[in-house]
Amino acid sequence: MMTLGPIGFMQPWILLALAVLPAIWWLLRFTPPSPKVVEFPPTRLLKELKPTEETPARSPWWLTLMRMLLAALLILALARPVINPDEGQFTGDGTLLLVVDNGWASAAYWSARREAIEAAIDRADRDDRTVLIVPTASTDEIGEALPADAVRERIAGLVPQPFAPDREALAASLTETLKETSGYSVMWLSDGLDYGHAQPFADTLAKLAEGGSLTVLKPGAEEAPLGVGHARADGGVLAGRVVAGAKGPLLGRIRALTARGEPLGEAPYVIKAGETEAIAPFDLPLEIRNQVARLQIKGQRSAGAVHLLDAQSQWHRVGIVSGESREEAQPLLSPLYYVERALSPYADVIRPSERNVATAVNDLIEKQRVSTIVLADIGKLVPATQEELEAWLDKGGVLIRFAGPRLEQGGDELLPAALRRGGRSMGGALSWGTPQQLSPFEDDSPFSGLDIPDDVRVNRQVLADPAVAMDAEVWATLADGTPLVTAKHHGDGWIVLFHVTANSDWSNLPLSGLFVEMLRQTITLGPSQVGTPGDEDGEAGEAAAGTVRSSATTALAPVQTLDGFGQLVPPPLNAAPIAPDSFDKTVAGPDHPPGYYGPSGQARALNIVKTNSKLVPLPDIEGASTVGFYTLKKPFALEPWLYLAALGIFALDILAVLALSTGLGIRRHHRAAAAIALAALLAATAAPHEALAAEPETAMTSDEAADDFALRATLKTRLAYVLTGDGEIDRTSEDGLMGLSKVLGARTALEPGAPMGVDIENDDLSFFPVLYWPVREDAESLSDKTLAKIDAYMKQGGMIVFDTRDQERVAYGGSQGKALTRLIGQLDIPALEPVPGNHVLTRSFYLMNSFPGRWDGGSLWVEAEPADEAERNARSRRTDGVSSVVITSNDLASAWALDEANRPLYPVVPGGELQREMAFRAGVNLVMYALTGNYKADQVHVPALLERLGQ
Amino acid sequence: MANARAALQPFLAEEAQAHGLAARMPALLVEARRVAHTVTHGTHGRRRPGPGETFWQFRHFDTNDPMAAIDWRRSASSDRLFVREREWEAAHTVWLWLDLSPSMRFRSFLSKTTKESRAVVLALALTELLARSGERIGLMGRVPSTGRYASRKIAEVLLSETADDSLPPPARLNRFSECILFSDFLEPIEETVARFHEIASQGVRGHLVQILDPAEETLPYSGRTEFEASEGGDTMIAGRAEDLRDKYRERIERHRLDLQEVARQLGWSFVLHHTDRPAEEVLLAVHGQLAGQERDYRYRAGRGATAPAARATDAPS
Repeated sequence: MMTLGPIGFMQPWILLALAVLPAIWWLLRFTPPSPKVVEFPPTRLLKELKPTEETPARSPWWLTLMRMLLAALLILALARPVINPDEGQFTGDGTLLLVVDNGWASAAYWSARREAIEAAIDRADRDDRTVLIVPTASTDEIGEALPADAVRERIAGLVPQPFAPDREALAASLTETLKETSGYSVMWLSDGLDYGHAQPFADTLAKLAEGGSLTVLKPGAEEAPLGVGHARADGGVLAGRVVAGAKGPLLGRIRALTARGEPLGEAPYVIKAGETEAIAPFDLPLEIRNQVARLQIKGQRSAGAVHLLDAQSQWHRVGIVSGESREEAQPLLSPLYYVERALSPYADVIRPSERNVATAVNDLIEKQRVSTIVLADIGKLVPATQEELEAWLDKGGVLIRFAGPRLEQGGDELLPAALRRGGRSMGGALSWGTPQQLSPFEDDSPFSGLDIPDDVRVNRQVLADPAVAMDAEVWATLADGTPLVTAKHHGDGWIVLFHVTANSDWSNLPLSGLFVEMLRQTITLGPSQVGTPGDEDGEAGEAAAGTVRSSATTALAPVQTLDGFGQLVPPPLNAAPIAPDSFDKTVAGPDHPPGYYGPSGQARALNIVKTNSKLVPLPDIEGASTVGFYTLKKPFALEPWLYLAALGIFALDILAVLALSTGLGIRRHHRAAAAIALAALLAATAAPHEALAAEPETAMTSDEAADDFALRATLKTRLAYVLTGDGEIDRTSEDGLMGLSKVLGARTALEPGAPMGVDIENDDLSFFPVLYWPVREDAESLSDKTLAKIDAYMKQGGMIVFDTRDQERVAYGGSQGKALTRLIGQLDIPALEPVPGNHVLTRSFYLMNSFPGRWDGGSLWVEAEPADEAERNARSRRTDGVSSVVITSNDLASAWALDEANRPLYPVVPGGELQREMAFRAGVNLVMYALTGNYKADQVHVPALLERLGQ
Repeated sequence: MANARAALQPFLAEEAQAHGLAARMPALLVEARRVAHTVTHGTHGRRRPGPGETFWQFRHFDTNDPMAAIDWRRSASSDRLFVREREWEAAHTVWLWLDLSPSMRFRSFLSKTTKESRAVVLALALTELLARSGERIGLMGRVPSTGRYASRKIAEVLLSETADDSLPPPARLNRFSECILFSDFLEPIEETVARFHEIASQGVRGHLVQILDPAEETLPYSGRTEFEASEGGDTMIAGRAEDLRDKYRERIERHRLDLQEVARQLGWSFVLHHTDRPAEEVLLAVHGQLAGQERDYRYRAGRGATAPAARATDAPS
């Protein structure tokens, strides 16, 4: 066995055969392929030629290459290559003790762990060892060492658990159970987290491994376990807090899901280099945000990567209304300031701008749909508002009222208890009592469990009227027993009265943290939304109302729990209820898997990652003989694939040989196909370089091409024609202009060079005095850029001869000029007219009446002579009076076209060489007109012309 | 008859194409550059008095003139007698010969049509054109015919033609007639020339139309190739066909120059045609040759005025 990087060869000596490849190359290259037979009449002439070279044609290089590849593949296949050859060996000869971390942290890459386990068992099987497999997150008894086959069956049932492994307990039980024996080959497949006991646990394992070996595998940084908790980002926005079992940089996304698992939003998280946690805020509207029941790290399937949210983390929308007008004058003393500051971290606080209490309340209920309303020192509400509030309370709203000077003067119906007129003040100059402290909260109070600071003192309060029977609940009392906070059920909702002001006038309670907690507890009584359809909310509200006390006494039973992979499942049998007071301190474990506990609606969520949890990476383990990563991959035999590839190439070879021996036409395609195949082969490696290399090159060549074009166009005066893309038309144009150039050279002072084809889209037009443009019937309209270029060309003195070449169709009643309209319809073309009898074009060289081409009879259209004198002058200044556009349908180029022997290529219709001569004269006139402008329009020549006309 | 029509099928397509071609050409009147008394009367104005239908001129009565020739209306207007002369009209005979040997059936991948097909199209189109102006057309060695159905008749004859001779047959032709030969002229030059002399010695002016496949011009093959002649059974294996290309091109060019030289000596015309080019071109060229227009193209560049290449070749002479 020989290894070469990740590939090992079982029969390495076969590779020696690769040395023969050059010889095969030589043989293949010089063995001629069988000749292809072609019929060829002038073979006799060929035979007279003495062949210059006797060496036979070589095989095409790609065929040779293909055959070489075939040979190389066969040799490689015979050498039996294997990817990821399994080389690991256990030392010692004891049982393999396989310690597997199967806590939540290993769930995300469980398949890789499973492969590692299987690979280890395979290896043990090869060494004929028995295997003892010990999962760390399990309360089961340690089993017995079994043969590998039996263990394979057992590991099928090994799944990750939704809690952290208890290595401490396992270490103890391992020491106890296996204390007689040692010399194990220990392999610890860790999940990469410390949990506080990693080193002692490793020591225990090392003890067991005396005489054997201890191998520790841990996940690499990119496979580090991730957990998610929830946090509040700036502005109280819901956020996911991602903790990682390795240092950053790591990045990914968190998804927010509803209770039904529908995604509501995603937020990216970025753990910076050197850090282990990151906050990912969700930007969600409140209504949506309150539907979030679960946060989950995308792509991670583990119990830690799921964070369940319960009602406590839901947000409420709280409206606050004050009866005072002190807000603006002394904002820091206004009651609402304290309430707002206390609530804003936990709720969406809305402060209506409306001064009018009735309108403000209506606004809060109708428009803002608040779930809680805080009324600070409002004595009496108008009846309409009162009714409105009552209806709202019936649907589950929570009304929190604060006392104050106004309420002291008499309250309305919406109070937990009737109040005695006039309050009670303590510790004043005229009173006997001293400012009172709070007494500890009763167990049935929702505030139970809150710490009461020592320095909270109440100076003044309103009192319930003792004359009226008190049916309200008392949630908080002063030390002397007078109620401080009373509450009453109203419909589905609550009315809660704080017997003090919301500012520090009557007590320093609003200055304490207790105030914040009390308010927070109070607003969680309400549903997140009032009066919305949907049983969840209604149920939540109801349940919240009903369970305040029961939750205080009854243990919270598991409702739904997470399995190791983060799926919500019915709780396992061993899941135990949790006492509510110790819920916050409970850590997920075998008895308390993470999940929802408590009655539905008011269920509390137990999560693996808590507010302050951190994941500590596994430290370097001392005493381990090997520490490796999960790089164990199953060996993968390449042999059959190589044979398959060889077979494929063989088939290709047959096809290629067939193609080579049948004619050229097919062969050409195959050359292309082979080129494509080869390109595909090389693409992966060569493409980037090629692309890089090709770019500047093409840029340069296009530059050079442009220069070359300009030089060719300018060194000699040339006629030019527009390339239409139709080979036949283009050839005719070229032949035609060539013929015209010859005639011009023979008869006039102009000796033009060979005509040039112009790509109207890309080439510069400004070099050519005349542009001949045959219009295809199926001509496409031009791009805006091109149109602009043509426009500029025409306005700067260029002349374009459009030839629709369709005069014959007119003769047969066909329509004409549609293609031309399509082509230059958008162009700014001036008014046109058929050439008038006195136009310069009729006398610029020859005296002409008509301008025939291959066809006769189509009229020649030129720019109409402007009627306006000023305009005429402008045009003659601009373009020397030359019409920028000439349109004909006579197919001029076909009449001009001559072959090499100066024979015309196309007959002229209706016929006669006279017409061809006239066509040439028309061409000469056109070119002369374009080159000399209005020269012949001068009156000076009129007498001479008249004389020649014989008048 | 039905059988004959069915048998005609192969050339019917060519005939239809020829009709199309001819429709676009002006009628072809063979220029009578040599006066021959032997030619049959036809619609050919000879620009001299003679038998015909068109008025030519009045001349004074001569004693040799028959009485019936006197134009009494003209004579009545003066004191002398006048005779009405008509323009002599005579038809020319044009002989066609097509090479129908196997080598003409060659078609390479560069061309869409075989040389034979092109030759037939050209021959029939010419027949059509000539017949329209009343000339007499005949296949070499057959009876010439005139009229609308001349091209159909010739197509029928071509169909029954079995000769696979690559050279024109020895045939008796009228003096002062024209003879158009369509072939690839790939036979050895000596044999070809002998046959041309035979024709020329009968006082016939010839027009050679060499029809070649583009592949025969450029040898567009490469690699190891075995060439098989269409007739004669010549074969040749080339190891690298592409190496032969330049030499072959020179060789076929020399062969053509030889042909042209022979044509020049005999005063014949020579037109080269490749089957990848439209038939129109060559038809027009032949048309020009027959109508005698190729001599006086006024748009032909003056000697030395253009084409530097031409100047270079002219300079030593």
